[in-house]
Amino acid sequence: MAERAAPPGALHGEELLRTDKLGKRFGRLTAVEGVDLRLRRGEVLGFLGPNGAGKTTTLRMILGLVRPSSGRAEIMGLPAGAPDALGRTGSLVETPAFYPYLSGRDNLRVLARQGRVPEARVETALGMVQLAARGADRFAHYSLGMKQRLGVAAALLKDPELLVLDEPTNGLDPAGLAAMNRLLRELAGSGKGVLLSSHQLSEVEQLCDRVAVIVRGRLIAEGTVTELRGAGTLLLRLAPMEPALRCLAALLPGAALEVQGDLLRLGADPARAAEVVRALVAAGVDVWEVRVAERSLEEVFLAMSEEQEGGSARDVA
Amino acid sequence: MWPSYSAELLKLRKRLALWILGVIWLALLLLFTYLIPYTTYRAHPGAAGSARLLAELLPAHLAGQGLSGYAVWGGALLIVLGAMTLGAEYGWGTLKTMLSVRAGRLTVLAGQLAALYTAVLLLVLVAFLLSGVASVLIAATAHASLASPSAAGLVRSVAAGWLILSMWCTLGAALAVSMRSVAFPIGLGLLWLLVVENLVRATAPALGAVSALEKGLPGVNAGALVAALDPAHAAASGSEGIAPIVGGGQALAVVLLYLLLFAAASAVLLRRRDVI
Repeated sequence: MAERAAPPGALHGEELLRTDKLGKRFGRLTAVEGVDLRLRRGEVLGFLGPNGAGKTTTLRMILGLVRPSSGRAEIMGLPAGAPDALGRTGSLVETPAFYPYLSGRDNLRVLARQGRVPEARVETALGMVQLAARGADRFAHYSLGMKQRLGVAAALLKDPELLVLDEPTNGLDPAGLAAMNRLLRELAGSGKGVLLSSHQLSEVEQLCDRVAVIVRGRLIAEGTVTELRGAGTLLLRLAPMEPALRCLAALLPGAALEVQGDLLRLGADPARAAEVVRALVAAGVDVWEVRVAERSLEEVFLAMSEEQEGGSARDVA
Repeated sequence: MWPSYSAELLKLRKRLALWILGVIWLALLLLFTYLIPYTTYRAHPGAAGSARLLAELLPAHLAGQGLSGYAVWGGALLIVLGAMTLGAEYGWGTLKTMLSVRAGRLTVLAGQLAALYTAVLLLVLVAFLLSGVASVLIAATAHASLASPSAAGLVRSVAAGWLILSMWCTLGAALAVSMRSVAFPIGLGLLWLLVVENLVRATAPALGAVSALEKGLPGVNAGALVAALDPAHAAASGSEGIAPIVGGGQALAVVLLYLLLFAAASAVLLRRRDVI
């Protein structure tokens, strides 16, 4: 999977979002514990986790809707939920919630007034999500995908510096999905920070500069997609196997070797594939097939989740 | 607070259910305070007390007659209005949307209540206008006096009506915020207004302790406030819930206190609770 290049200076940009040891308890239930997140300008941070892992609770704490039991969240140095912080943040948390008796356009007008945004921005936001033609329809008559797009339009209404989006592509058709992904890429490219929670792992893999994985309320991994996927492996179809194993043990001491019939899985940097093939041919081994095997983010996520939850995550991704 | 107020006004203005509620309220007001009494008068024009009945319907008594439905069933509809407006935010999940925009929680609540009070004021003004038209028509039809009420008396009545209805509306809002829903708060508010207060009123003459309790009830004080504005009318009309059980000054203070109490309770609950 092609990885999106990080915008220049993204990793050193201004810190838009910061959580320190963020935690939330509901009675005896610990929903979130010790979550440290950082998001810089121009960066897209994927926020992954199985259902009930604490993603939405974390997002709600970031927006000031839920008060943390411990730790703190800051947006651009301001406490989460402070009016100035909210004014610079666009959000879509869980399902888009709007007034069913109002049109999409009027719903945005309400939010524009509430947010002290010029009402001219309403048309801009509707246009950004291709909803301008249906802006006069009542929200109650919208399809799931249209509701989702209105939710994203509401998040973009203030032209915010930080976007907090929870499953923004939920219910979108393939064309809508592609358009939304394009939009998110453009937004990040224009210097906004995006915190993206999604179950669409292929999109996260394409869109996100970094990924944070939360399971049972705790952050279990954080890094770039490449870091999380780990190094790739080489798959070689060859014969005979014995001299091949001897040759590779000499060429790459300590490299993982796994034989599956006439297939050999070699834990080595894929960039060394040509060198490996040359050595094998020189050792009298016939090589029929060489390919690079990389773990997808989905495989990594499932493995992490299963490790933490004993297999319960496989049904959610 | 102006942005929140402006946003809330837009929401209220576009909500058909609230217009229907207002029209029902105005229709009931005219029906019970003018149409039915006048029909009764026309049916028995020579009966004892019919002249007094007609006199209550004339423009001179607009300040008192126009308020006669506010204390009880007017309150019932305003509890529904308050609960519908704030409770729906929980049902639709729009509270999280509104609280994620920019304004703080108390600012959003203040905007909601201010918009509701504006709607209530408009409702009261329209109600007085329609009541005035009805009283003039009755006076013209019955060839009775067209003498108008004093302007000061009318202003006092409008202000008192606004305060009373705002109090009930705030009760509906407070119940909706506390229960985070619409239907149950409406049921509970109506139960209080139409059952509990009436039971207390019914048992108060026989029990001293209940009598003391009666003097602190919101509905009783709302009725006493109306009675204080036109004591002669209150004594003559015998409208439900309107009686000078407490003095006008106390009634005004208690109604205002309840309004502030309900608003404060809403504010405390909204501020402290997580929005889930």
